[in-house]
Amino acid sequence: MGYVEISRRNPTCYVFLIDQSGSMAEKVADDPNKSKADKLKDFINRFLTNLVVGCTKADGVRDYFYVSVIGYGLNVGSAFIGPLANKDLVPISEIADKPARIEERLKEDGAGGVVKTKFPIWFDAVADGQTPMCHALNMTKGILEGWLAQHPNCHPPIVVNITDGAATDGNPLVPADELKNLKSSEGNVLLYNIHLSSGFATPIKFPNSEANLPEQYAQQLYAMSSPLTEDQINYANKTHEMNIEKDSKGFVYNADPVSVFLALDIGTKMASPQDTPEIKGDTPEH
Amino acid sequence: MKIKYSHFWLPKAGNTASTCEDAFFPYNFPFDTISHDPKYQRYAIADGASTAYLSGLWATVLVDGFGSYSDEITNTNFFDLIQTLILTENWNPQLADYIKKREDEGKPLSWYDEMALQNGAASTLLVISFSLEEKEVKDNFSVLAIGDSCLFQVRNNELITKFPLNSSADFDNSPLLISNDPKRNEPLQEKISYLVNQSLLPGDKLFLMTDALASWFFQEYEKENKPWEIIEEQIVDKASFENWIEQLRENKLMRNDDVTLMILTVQGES
Repeated sequence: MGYVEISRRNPTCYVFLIDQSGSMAEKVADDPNKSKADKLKDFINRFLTNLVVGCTKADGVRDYFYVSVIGYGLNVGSAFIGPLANKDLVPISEIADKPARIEERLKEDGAGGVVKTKFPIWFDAVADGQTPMCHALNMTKGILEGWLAQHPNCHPPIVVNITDGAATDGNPLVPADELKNLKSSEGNVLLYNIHLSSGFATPIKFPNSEANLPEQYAQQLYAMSSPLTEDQINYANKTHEMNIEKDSKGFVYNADPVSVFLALDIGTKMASPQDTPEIKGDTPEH
Repeated sequence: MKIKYSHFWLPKAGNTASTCEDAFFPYNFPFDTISHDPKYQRYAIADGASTAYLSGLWATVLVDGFGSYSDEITNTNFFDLIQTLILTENWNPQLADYIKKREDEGKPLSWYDEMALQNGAASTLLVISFSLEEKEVKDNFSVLAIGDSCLFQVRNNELITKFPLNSSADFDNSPLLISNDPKRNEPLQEKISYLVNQSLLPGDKLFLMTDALASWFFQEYEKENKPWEIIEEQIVDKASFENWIEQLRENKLMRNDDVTLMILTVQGES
């Protein structure tokens, strides 16, 4: 099914739900200097950078997208810091102009050397408290109800929940279903889930059944997840040379950094690539 | 023989003319800079990728650079021409002008402009070359393309050439694109579409068009219609072209995109 075109007249939105519980302080297996929270911070800040750059035209940054980043841990609410602190849904042009700070990092130049690159920061790594995922899903529902009332014909909003543990405030299936029941004229809100691994367990990417999921918790996240769209599956199979089947869900279990990148790239792919920025290659930083 | 030429273009609905990222040659090109006794007469269209930054400017640089080039263009010298002729002589000064203009307007490039610039501009290109002898067009032409901008040649009310795509199924959302970064063009070397020594007769009509209209053209042809007849019936001037494209968009027969059409009619005796 093809969706409506995304344009400045008919923008859509992304909501990222970021687990900021205490367990996110665990180091990741392939990079002992970084915690899961550090890695997640880099992923989402880089995603925002790529989204801004993709919406940048000669006449400015075009508001094709509004973005919300909700953290859940000791507190539940906007994870933005700096000038965007406490804001829920922010147009991409405002995100472009208001990073909290711009760091400089080194990246490989493709010819054996390194070059400096700017790395804007909109939110920092946080790891404290429990995992109030239900609260975060409910808050997202409130945000998207408001958005859909104003944008009834938008491309269905995409919510990406990234977590390393089970909800500590109830059964997340209930608020997840309520969230997925929200819809525009183009279709229901899409909820995707990425479960972060701290070990070397093999990731399970975009399953289309519960059969190979090892535990009840994984099955719960699978049940919470929306199916990938036809456009996303076609994109994944063409661009990433994957072999994703038709009814696969937007869910990755035991995701390592490579599969987090993949899941973000595929799960955030919207239906109108004419207007949709590409996520560029995940160049290593030092 | 001589070529009679007309052109039409319309930006994507909801956009202004200044944000149209299609380009064609000849349009604004200063003709007095072209040799008085040229060996070739050229026409070119390009479709700047909306996903990339400054693609409209890059598309313009491509059509002007290739359209006004004075010697032969083939699939073997094509990328050398891009690198030397365009990048050094045309693109960099245009880019410098753009950056200066932004500074003069009090809007210097921001971090995201700089990063978008590093990602590069990208465009399709289709350029058709007619050899000249004593200012008359000879009886053959060559055409070269990267991407999904198309040429259709009609003779005696039949479609005799479709180039470089063959059917509506050949369009997808990731056409081949020429980058302003030479490194990104390396994989394209093997993918240039090139026709040479194509026959040309008086009365032939050549239609050059960017992808949205070309896709419509193929779909009509596949329904055993004659889309060139529809074009000629519908278009008498700029306003009728614009009305017709708007109708196609409203009726969902054409994707909302920038549209460029050039019609070349071959006149005279062979």
